[in-house]
Amino acid sequence: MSGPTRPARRFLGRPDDAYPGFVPRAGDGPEGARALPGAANWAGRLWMVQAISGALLIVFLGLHLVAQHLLVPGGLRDYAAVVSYLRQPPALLAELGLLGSVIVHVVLGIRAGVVEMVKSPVWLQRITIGLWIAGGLFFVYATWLTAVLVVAG
Amino acid sequence: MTTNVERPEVPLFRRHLYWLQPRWRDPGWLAFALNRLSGYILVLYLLAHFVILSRLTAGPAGWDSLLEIFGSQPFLVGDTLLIAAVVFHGLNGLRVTALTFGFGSRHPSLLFGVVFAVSVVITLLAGWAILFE
Repeated sequence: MSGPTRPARRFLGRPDDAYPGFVPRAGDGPEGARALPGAANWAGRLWMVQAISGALLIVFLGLHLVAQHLLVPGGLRDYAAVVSYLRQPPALLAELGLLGSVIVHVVLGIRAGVVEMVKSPVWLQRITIGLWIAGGLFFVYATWLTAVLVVAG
Repeated sequence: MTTNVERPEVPLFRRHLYWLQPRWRDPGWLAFALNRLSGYILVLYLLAHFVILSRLTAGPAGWDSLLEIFGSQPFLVGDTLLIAAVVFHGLNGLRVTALTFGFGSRHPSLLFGVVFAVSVVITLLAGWAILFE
């Protein structure tokens, strides 16, 4: 096809012979070329985490919306109703599950947009770490808020 | 045969706006653009949600006064639009996951049409329940 000095051909997106369920792996193309060596084993499989956290979100968010708006007359919980709701262990568990899955889903979703914006793998890794730190801070904040309501409310 | 497509050299942030360009030959472009748009809307809502929930630390006096505001008509319309974003994003996520495992890949436009139609129906039902019940 071409001389030996020509760089290896790379595809943008799905190759023509992709089977159903095909996911570009690190080293296959531009996607992989952006991944750092240490990231090569997991970066190509993040879509699976996104799908699992999305499935969890459908469950937890459904429970959240039903509990917060359908089981309450008037559709909004006042302060006393919020506290008594959070003091039930199953409700607390569902809310913390929602918190964890929504933060994972949002971090990976924003990262997917960042992958298209950033060219350097170093910056992709820096921004990814920053996103996880921000997500962790939100998790700590929301858990603290919940604990305050359960204990002191 | 895999074709050789070079990554075009364009400024950093304009590259991100490619998802706004309609790619008419690909039935998934509308789904992708709407998915990302609704995703950004939901992230912004989540941030506002976290900020507003901090008012719970002020006790009943701080929180219960907010409920009247959130029960007003403009916020209920916003809630309906939020339901639209949530339902479409969720159903489209199921569609993408199904496509990844090969289900529905023979009729991608039909699958997206079903997702869109079901989203519209659920949003109308939820909007009716929120605004008029």
